[in-house]
Amino acid sequence: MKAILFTQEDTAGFNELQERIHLHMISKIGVDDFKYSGSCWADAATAYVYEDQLCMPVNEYEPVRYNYILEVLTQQEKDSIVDVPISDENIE
Amino acid sequence: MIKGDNILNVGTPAGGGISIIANDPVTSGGGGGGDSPPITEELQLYINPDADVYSDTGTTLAVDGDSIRQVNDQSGNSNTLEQATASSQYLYATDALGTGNSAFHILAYADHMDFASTLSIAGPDSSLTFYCVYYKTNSSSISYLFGTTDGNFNRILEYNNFRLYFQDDTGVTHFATITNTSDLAIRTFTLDTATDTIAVYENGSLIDSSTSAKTWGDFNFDSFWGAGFIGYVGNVLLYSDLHDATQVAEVSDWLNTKYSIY
Repeated sequence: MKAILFTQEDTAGFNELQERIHLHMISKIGVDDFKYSGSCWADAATAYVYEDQLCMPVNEYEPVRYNYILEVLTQQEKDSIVDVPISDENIE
Repeated sequence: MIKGDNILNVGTPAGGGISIIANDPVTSGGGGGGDSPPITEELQLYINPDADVYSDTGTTLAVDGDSIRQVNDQSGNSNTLEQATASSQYLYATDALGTGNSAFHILAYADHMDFASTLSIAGPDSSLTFYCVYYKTNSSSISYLFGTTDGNFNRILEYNNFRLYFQDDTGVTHFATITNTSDLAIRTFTLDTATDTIAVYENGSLIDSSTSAKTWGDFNFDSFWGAGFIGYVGNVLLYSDLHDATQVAEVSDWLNTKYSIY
């Protein structure tokens, strides 16, 4: 999946970006029948951790939402989007 | 009363106005494998993607392509599923499993749903029977089918698309082999806590079983289907008792009237 990574200490940065995305999504409700029903975009407390970093998904597989996300990202943030592999947790 | 319930009674209560009483969802309606399972004893959870799936908190029924905010349990136990974190919501896909059957389309590692209230089953006293119709489009190492929101133990999961695990809060695992879950199938997983036996059925037929001494703790399920699973999920039923081969065949055949898999 594609995501923007934050250090685990940078929950403030994580929350600032997720709220920016969340509020932009809310502002688009009803535009071309766009629906959005989240109470947040992402949650640092439950975020997937990849190589000790918090992952904020950008849901590139949902074109409309992805475009709205891109609208609120700075160029630096856009450039920071990375592919995050799914972990290979061992339960054996 | 939830949207989609059958109405049992409409009357005028003493205080005035109109009262509407909903019929029990699992004992009414029927046909097509969508509404009334043939076995309802000890049914704890019945999730049907073709019933009571919402794009918001229970008002607007989801349509194709919507993100899913809430799914209502059809068992009558109100084990509602919800996902308030937008980036973790499933997508709703109509006409996705067989002809005309909807599915939860899970597209990313973070996608999952949470139980509004923990679904608790006393492990030492109850066995489990779990029916699910699904296929995966990836081959991730682990998928949590029923789990905990903190990602730790107390869960039912599959591993590498070929093993089904039951795991309690000690983290000790017990597994049986399943065939490739990239194929659409009606799968049944049973855990007999009296004999420590796991059995796996596909399309009503026994595939594998294994027995391993273990002390089972309580199952406290907080989350539903995610963490590595990419694919499509149809009907899901969870019972807090053990179904034998005859019962598994009965419920599987009922599901097959809807999905026409075998």
